[in-house]
Amino acid sequence: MVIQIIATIIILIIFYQLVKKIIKDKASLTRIIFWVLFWGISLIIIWLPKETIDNIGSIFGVGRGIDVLVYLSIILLFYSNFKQTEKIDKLEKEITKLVREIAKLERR
Amino acid sequence: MDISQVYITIPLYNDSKMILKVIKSLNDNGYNNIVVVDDGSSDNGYELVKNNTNVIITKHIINRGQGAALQTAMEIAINKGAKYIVHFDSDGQHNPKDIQPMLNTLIEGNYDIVLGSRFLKKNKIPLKKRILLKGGILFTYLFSHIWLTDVHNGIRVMTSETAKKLNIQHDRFEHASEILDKIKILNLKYTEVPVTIKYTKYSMSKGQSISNSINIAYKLISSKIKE
Repeated sequence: MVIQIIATIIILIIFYQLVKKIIKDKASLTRIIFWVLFWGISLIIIWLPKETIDNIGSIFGVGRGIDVLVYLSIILLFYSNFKQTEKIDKLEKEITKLVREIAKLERR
Repeated sequence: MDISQVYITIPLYNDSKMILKVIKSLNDNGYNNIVVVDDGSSDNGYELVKNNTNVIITKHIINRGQGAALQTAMEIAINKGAKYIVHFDSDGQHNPKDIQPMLNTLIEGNYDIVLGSRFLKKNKIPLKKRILLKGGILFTYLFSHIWLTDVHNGIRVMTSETAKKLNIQHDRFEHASEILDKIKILNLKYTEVPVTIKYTKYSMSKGQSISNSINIAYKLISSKIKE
């Protein structure tokens, strides 16, 4: 029960941040929809009765329903990490290009 | 061959102690087209070269790595009308006398690129370095399917057409493996020529460590997967 309340509070804080971003128009629409869905579903799963969650788990071939969420989170984390590395690589390449152009202009 | 068509490219990073000597030794051997790219060094190498020599010099305002500096230097050399491009290190471990035989081989054999090999000549190579390099040879074979007697040797001679095709994308030390990989992919005609490497306490302190080598291998593999 305690963990469910803590998780709910955390999710509500995240929701609050999302709303703030929407108001400030900082995030892209697809990203907002994704995270609203992700955290919304998480919130529902947290408050579902244990039997229901475990039934969902058994559909995926996993004993406990909560494990599905954990596995899913790990996959998502890996994916976002991969995406970020890709983005950093691209930025690095662009920085090099910029530095190179400046160097060419300043050559003696 | 007209020596004025030869451009020596030198990436410079915190080598202010050696760079003037290196430039002088190149000048003494008749090479006057020298492009030095200071890669955001924290020492005064850039000012030293600018104030004491006549070479073409520029600098990266922030450090981008040896590969990036070499690419900048090559682009400048090509822009200046280079016909032949030489990669040369700034730490004094290469011998300018090795350039001529490499150029001769390139031209006479109609090669696209000629690589220097320290293992084809009697060189005093420290054991740690020897093991690391042999590992690199094996890795290169597995990774790029190209069997060489030496890898990660900074001295290379190529035509400007080859330099244009190479277009180094790996900014840091992985560029040395990238060049070998591209030799295979672009089906370039290559060979190795024996060269001397002078190992000093100074050059050893600047060389590759084991952890660095693992890092290079990791970056190369991950970039290949992404392709």
